[in-house]
Amino acid sequence: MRASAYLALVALAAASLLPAGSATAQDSYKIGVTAAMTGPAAATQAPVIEMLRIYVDRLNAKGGINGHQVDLLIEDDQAEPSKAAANATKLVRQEGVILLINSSFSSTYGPVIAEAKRGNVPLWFAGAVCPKETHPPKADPLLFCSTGFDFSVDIPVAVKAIKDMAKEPAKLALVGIPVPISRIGIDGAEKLAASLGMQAVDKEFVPPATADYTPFATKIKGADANWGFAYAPWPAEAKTFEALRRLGWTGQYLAYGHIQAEDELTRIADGGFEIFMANSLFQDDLPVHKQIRDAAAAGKYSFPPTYGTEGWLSGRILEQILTKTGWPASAEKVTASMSSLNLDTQGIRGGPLVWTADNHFRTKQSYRFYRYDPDKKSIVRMRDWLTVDVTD
Amino acid sequence: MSPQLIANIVVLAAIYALVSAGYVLVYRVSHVLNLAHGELMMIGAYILVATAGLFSGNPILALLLAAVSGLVMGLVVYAVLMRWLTGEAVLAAVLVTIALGILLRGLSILIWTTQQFYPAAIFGWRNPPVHILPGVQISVASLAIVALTIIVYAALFLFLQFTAWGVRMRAAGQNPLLAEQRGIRLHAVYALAWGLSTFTASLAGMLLSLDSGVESTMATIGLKAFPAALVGGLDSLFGALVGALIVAAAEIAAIQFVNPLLSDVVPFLVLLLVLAVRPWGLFGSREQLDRV
Amino acid sequence: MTNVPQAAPLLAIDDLRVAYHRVAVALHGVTLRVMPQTIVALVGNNGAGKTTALRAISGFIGVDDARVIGGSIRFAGRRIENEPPHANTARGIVLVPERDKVFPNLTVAENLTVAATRRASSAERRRLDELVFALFPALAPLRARLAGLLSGGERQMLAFGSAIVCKPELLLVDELSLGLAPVVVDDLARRVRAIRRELGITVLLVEQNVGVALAIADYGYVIESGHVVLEGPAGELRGRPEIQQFYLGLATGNQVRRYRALRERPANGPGDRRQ
Repeated sequence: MRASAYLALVALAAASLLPAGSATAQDSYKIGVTAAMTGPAAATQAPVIEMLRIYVDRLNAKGGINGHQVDLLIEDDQAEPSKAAANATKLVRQEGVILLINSSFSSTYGPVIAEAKRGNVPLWFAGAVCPKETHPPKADPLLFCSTGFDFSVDIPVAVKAIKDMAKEPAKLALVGIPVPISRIGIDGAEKLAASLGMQAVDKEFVPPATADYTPFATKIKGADANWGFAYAPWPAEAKTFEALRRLGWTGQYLAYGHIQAEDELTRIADGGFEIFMANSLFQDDLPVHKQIRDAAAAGKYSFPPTYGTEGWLSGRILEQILTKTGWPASAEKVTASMSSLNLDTQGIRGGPLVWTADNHFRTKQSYRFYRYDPDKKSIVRMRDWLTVDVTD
Repeated sequence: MSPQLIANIVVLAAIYALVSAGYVLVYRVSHVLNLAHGELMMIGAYILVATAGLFSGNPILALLLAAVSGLVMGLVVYAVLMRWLTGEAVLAAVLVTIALGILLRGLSILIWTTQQFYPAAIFGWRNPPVHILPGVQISVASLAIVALTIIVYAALFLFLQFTAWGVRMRAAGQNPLLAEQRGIRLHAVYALAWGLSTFTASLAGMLLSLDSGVESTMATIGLKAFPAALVGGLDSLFGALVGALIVAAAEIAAIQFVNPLLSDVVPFLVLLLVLAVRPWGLFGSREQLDRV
Repeated sequence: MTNVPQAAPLLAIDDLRVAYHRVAVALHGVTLRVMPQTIVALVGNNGAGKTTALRAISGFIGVDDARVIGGSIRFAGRRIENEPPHANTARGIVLVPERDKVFPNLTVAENLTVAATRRASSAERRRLDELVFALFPALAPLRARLAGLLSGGERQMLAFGSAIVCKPELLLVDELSLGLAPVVVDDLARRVRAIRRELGITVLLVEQNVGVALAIADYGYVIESGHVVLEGPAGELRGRPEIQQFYLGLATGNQVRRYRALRERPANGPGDRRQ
């Protein structure tokens, strides 16, 4: 009796910690979010959605859009497909949202896409991997993606950049994690490197939450690599590099710059660690960066302000979509509005974000390259916007 | 095998052993499998983040305060939660530890979000490599983990073997009723076991966070150390030490010679193999298992 | 049924009732007195409730799932029903259990160390250890041996030793003779009397072997199916024909095995061949 009562109490306390849907209003834009607010993908996704919420709160404080409040219903899926499916069902069927946002592991996409299609509600991937169906020239009518990174575009850019940067013949070590996107990216990089005459001497898939990265680093160093390329969530990218340095490895290393990158480059403070990314860093010191910094401070953002860029961009996208949707709103009108998006990214990206009827991703993608300069004791830009065509 | 590989095995084994000690302490005394151990370790690391923020100029004080908090954490968990489950089925207690784990994970995200924290950076400490032999390098933090694991195990051995309270802890594990009848307050012994368990777990969490930071998935490392405790036999500290070495060696051999993708699975493969042959673990006692 | 003694009893049990698992009642109103510095025997058949009575005095722990549901237990005038064992040990009530009486994976010396003796300095602890080895010299050379490797008699001595280290005023002994050779039992019986005589420790002894019990004890109670059915000075009980017949093995032929059955119907009557 006592034990079960205690169990129930603890379970109740645990359940009360999970975010609950906020109160609904009849005369508001209802936007549903299923996102990895906790769990293994939360480090990358939660900062995006929290900044999106701060952005929406600011909009609402200023009177909303077209005179109507934006009701952002955030449900945690802990990066689990079953929870994401339940969230999507609840948001679409019970809450009647006019737009669904997914920000989680790609393993959650299947059930959420299915639910969006059943309800004929547009589905937008914000800050998470873009599924192929959003790409031009034949984008799915209901699926959209604004995320900065995409392996099909990122990998060729990175491998070619290493080829350019390498002063001696590159012996390349590839670092990923054992999830599909990272594996496909790293395997693709291996093939591309070979076709460019670079030797891939080692390939490591480091499981998330590894107690010690040294064994993986030992193997890379043992393979005599002089270049490393990592395409994985930030902790795996950075910790593998740090373990390599602790082993006395002297090579250079390129990794995708996820939202943590700016703070982390400064912390690691190593001139041989280069990053490439679709979003500009605060280091570039644009007006938009100051806006984000102020919003983070005012909204009590849980993360360093530099983590907020992608979420801020998502907020601006949402603002334009809803402004053009008008009132009264419906899922159909939102879909139509999204299919003619043209957003000035104010320097966050290397150009405007454009969605059209057959392109729900982007037709051009631009990257900046950064590294930490130990002499200047700050991050420096190595290469300004490098623009590539997104053609498959 | 190169000397660097052996060094890697020793470091990984030290991590697993330091985490496993807590599983063994609680299990040995109260036969409860603490499935919130990884979460408690993570909280230990987060507490260091907090004390480091408060006393960034005085790392020794921050470390001491975090270590003491680790001890207090176990006492509180016992007094608030586990104490009320003595005399209930062991399964009920294990289920409560699972619920506790979920609760702690939720709490840690509420307080510390999902961000990665680096207490070493707060202290302004670098984590430089140390040449221990020609061609063999490990980080200062790794060296500290190995040293601390040796100290902790030696201290636990001396404590359990030669002090009255150590003997009482062993006695309570064997026969709680007779222990009570010999004047030993079981609640005190259990609380002590929980305190020591979370103390060692916190030390592990603190050193891991000094080495490579702490974020919300650190609890998973507790799960990875679990096979080490089980391979050795859950009620034997010596077994946990040997189990940690075996699991670490198997994991590193798999990364080095077979496929790094296996590194997650290998500890559990080793566990399955051992349990198939000796269900009570390499150094566990048979009757302990029968009681579960 | 009770004869009220002149001096204050060290232990006074009145109408004690105990239930297991909240429903199964194992004692139905046992009343007994133990006077200071006496040896009192509680005898009766297996399952009569003797062990339950001792455990109720010593205290239950959670896994026992047992409770005193009625009556009172007074030790030196204070009520102690449903107190935990460690608290009663600290009061001076120490049990030598029937089974699992030592910690098998601890050495003999550790089995003595383990006792959490109230208010004992390390000097006193050493003195208590020496006292144990003086009382049971056979244990002295076995200090470093694991208790699990001891013989039955040695185990019993160690169990007494570790109880004595707890500084008891009242020693509860559950089955002194069970499973031991007669010569060992005689030896232990002498030591129990020595413990009382030299240390002034009161003893409440539970025994199936009524002969042994009444030889050691000053006073005796006979318990059956959770009730006290007979009591008296040990010498007097030894002389009672019922006792001789049913407990001392002096009876012949087909017998009822319970005292109460004897009271309820004539001996050797039909239908008495039960169990």
